[in-house]
Amino acid sequence: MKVSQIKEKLNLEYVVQSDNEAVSGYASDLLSVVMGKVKPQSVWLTVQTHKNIVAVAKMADISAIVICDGFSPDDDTVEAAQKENIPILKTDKGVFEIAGMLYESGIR
Amino acid sequence: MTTIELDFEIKHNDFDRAGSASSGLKNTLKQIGYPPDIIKRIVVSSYEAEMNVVVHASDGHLRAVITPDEVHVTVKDNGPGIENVEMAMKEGYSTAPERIRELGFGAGMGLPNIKKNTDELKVESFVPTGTTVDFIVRRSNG
Ligand SMILES: Nc1ncnc2c1ncn2[C@@H]1O[C@H](COP(=O)(O)OP(=O)(O)OP(=O)(O)O)[C@@H](O)[C@H]1O
Ligand SMILES: [Mg+2]
Repeated sequence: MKVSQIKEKLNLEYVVQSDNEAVSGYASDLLSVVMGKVKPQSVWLTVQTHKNIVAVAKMADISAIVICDGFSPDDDTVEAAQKENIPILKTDKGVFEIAGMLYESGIR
Repeated sequence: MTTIELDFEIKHNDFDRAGSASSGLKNTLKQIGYPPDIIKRIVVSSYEAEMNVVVHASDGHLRAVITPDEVHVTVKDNGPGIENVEMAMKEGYSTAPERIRELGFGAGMGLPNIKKNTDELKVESFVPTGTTVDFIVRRSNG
C-alpha cells in the first residue's frame, strides 16, 4: 500500500510529504530495537521527535515515520526528512490505535 | 568496480551530525549498485558503531573499504574504552545516561545488532585509550 493511501485511510497529517510503498509496520521508541527488528518498507510508529529518527529510518529502509499522540517533529527533523525524502506524518491518536488501524488495513 | 575507500570524522556528543558517516556510506553503496538488503546490514551496523562513539566515547573515525565482494568497516575512537567487552555485547546491557535514553538510545541492542548483521566482527577495547569496532559484510551469503 502507498503511504499516501495510508494517510487518507487513517486520517493522518503530512508533515513531510513524500510517497513510498509500505508493506509492514513496527512500533517502538527505542532506536536500536527498531533497527534490529523492523522489516524493510515498514511504517514506523513512534513518539520520538528528534533528528536521529530520520537517520534510523534511512538506515533501516523505513517507508514512513508516523509520530503519534499529538507530538510534532523538531524543525531540524523536518529539514533532514525533506532532504532524505522520508515521509513524516503525525496524528493525535495513540500508537496502539494507529497500529490497530494499520493492521486492519492489511499492513502486517 | 575498483576499491573505494571512505573516511568520515565522528564527533562525540554532536547529535546534530550524528549518523552522517553512515548516511554518506549508504549514499555511496546505493550509487554503485550494492543490493539493498546488503546495504541495510552494512549501514545499520555502521550506524550503531557510529552512535556508540557519539554517545559513549570521544571523537573518532569511520573508515570503509568497499570492494565488489565485501565492505569492511572500521570505527575507531580515542577512549575511554570498554571495561568488559563480553558484557557490552550482551543484549540489554547499557551504561547510557538518562538524558540520552530520553532520545531513544540505551536499549543495549547496538552491539548485538552489529553482531547479527555482519559476517565478521572484532571489538577491541583498551581502557582508557579507546575502542575499535571492525566488521565485514560480504555480498554473497557467507
Ligand atoms: N565506543 C564505545 N566506547 C565506550 N563504551 C562503549 C562503546 N561502545 C559501546 N560501549 C559500551 O557498551 C555498552 C553497550 O553498547 P550497545 O551499543 O550494545 O548499547 P547502548 O549503546 O548502550 O544502547 P543502544 O545501542 O541500544 O542505543 C554501552 O552502554 C557502553 O557502556
Ligand atoms: Mg549503542
